[in-house]
Amino acid sequence: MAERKRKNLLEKTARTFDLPGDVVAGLTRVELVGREELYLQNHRGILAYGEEEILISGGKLMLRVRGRALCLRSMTPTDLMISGQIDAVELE
Amino acid sequence: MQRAINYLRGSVRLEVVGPYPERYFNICSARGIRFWGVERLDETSLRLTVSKVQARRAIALGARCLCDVTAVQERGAPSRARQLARRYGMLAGLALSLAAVLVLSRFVMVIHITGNEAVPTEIIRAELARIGLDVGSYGPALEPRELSNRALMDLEELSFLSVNLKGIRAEVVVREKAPVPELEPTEGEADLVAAKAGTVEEIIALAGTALVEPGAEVEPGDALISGRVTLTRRDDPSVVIDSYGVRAKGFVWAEVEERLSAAFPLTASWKVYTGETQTRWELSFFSQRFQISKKTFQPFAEYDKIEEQWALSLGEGLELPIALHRVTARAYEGNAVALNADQAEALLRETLERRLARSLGEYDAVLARDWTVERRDGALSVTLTARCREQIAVTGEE
Repeated sequence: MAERKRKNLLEKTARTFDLPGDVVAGLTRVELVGREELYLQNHRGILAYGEEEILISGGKLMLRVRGRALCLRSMTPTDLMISGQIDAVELE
Repeated sequence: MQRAINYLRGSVRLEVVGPYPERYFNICSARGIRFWGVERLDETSLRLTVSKVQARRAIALGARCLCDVTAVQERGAPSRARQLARRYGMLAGLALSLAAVLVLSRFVMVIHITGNEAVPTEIIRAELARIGLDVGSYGPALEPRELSNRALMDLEELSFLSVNLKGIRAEVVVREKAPVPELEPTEGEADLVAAKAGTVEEIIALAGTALVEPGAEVEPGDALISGRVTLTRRDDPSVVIDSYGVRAKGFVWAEVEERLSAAFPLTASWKVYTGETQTRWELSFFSQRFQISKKTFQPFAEYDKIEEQWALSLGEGLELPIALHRVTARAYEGNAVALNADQAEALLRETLERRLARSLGEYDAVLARDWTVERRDGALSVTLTARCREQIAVTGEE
C-alpha cells in the first residue's frame, strides 16, 4: 500500500513538474520501430506468450501485442524486446 | 558482433516444459539471466537459449515456476573445443604444423639470385654455399653484411652483392663489373713482327720504319716494321742526324698458307632401345634423398638414366628444397653402323671452311683452296690447304 502511494505521488510529481514519467515514476515506456520491433522499458513481467499474441504486465496497465511470428528477442529485469510482424499494441 | 560474442562464450539451448512456461521468462529476467532465441513449441513448452555460464542456474530456476527445464543442445566455441580435444590425430597434426612453422621458418629454404648475366647463378650459389649460405642454413646465425663482403672478395667479376634474409627466403642481388676495355699501350718502343710465314705483298707503315719490301719471304717473328725512326739529311740520306723510338704501327699483308685437317670415323655406335625400363621414386629433403619406391633398382648393362623432378613451389618460380624424383633407366644395345663417306666428307669440308673463316681477319681473303681426302684407320681425313692474303703484322716484344 505504501509503495502504491509512493508511486502515485511520483506520477503526480512528474506530471506537475513536466518531468519524464518513465525516469521519475518508473512508468512503462513503449517504443515501436516500424512494424518489426517493439522495445518496452519498466515492465513487470510476461503474462502470456505466443507467436500471435504476447501479454505483458506494466504495473497499472497491461500491454497486449498482437501480430504474426512474434518472438521475444531479449529480456532483462526492466527491458524487453519483441520482434516479428506487429499488427496491434493494445493497452488494458 | 553479439552473435560472435555468444559463439565465443558458448550457449545452451534449454527446453522448458510446464503449465505456465511464460513465468520462466520473468524469473530468469529477475535473476539477471540473459536469454534469447525464444521458440514456442506448444501451449506448455518452449525453447530458449542462455549463455553457457548461466545454464546451470537457469536449469535450477525451472523448479521455482513448476517447469521442467532440460538442456537439449550445446553450441559455441567451448563445446566445439571439447569435441576437437578428442580428435588426437588432428591435434598431433596441428602440433606438428605449428612446430614446422616455428622451426622450419628459421631456416633458409629458397635462395633467389638476381642481377647476374655473365656470371652463372650456379657459380654464385656455390660460393655462397661455401661461405655458409645454403639451403638449410640456420637464418639467425647468418650475418648478411659479412656474407656479402666475403662473397665479393672471391667473386671478382661482381662489383656489388647484397644478401637480404626474409623468413625462409634469401634474396641475393648482384651487380657485375663493367668489362675493362683493352688499352693499347702508347709509350715505349716496339716493332711489328710477322705472326706467320709468307710472302709479303703490301706494307703500310703508319708509325715506324718498314724493314721489308713486297715480295720478301718472312718467317714468324721476323721484324716487319721497326719502332726505331732515324732522321737523315735531305741532301745526303746516309748521314744520320738523330733517331728516336716509337711503337710501330701499320699493316703488312702477305700471302700465307693455311693448313687445316679434320677426321671423322666411318663407323659409329648407334643406340637401339630394347624397350626395357626400370623406375625408381625418390624424395629429396634439403640435400638428403630417400628412396620411396620398394622395387630394387638394378640398372642394365647399357642404359640411359633419365631423371625427372617435381619440386614443391611457392609460386613465382620459388622452389622449396622438397622434391619428388622419378629416375628411369632405359636399356639399349650398341649397334655399329657404317656412315656414308660422301656425307662425312661434306661435313668435314663444311667444318674446315668454318674454321678457316674464323681464323681470317676482316680484310683477309682466300686466294685458292686445295683439298686432300684420304681414308686411314677406318676414318676419313680431310685436309684443306688454302693460300690466303692475310695481315700478319703483330706487335713484338718491347
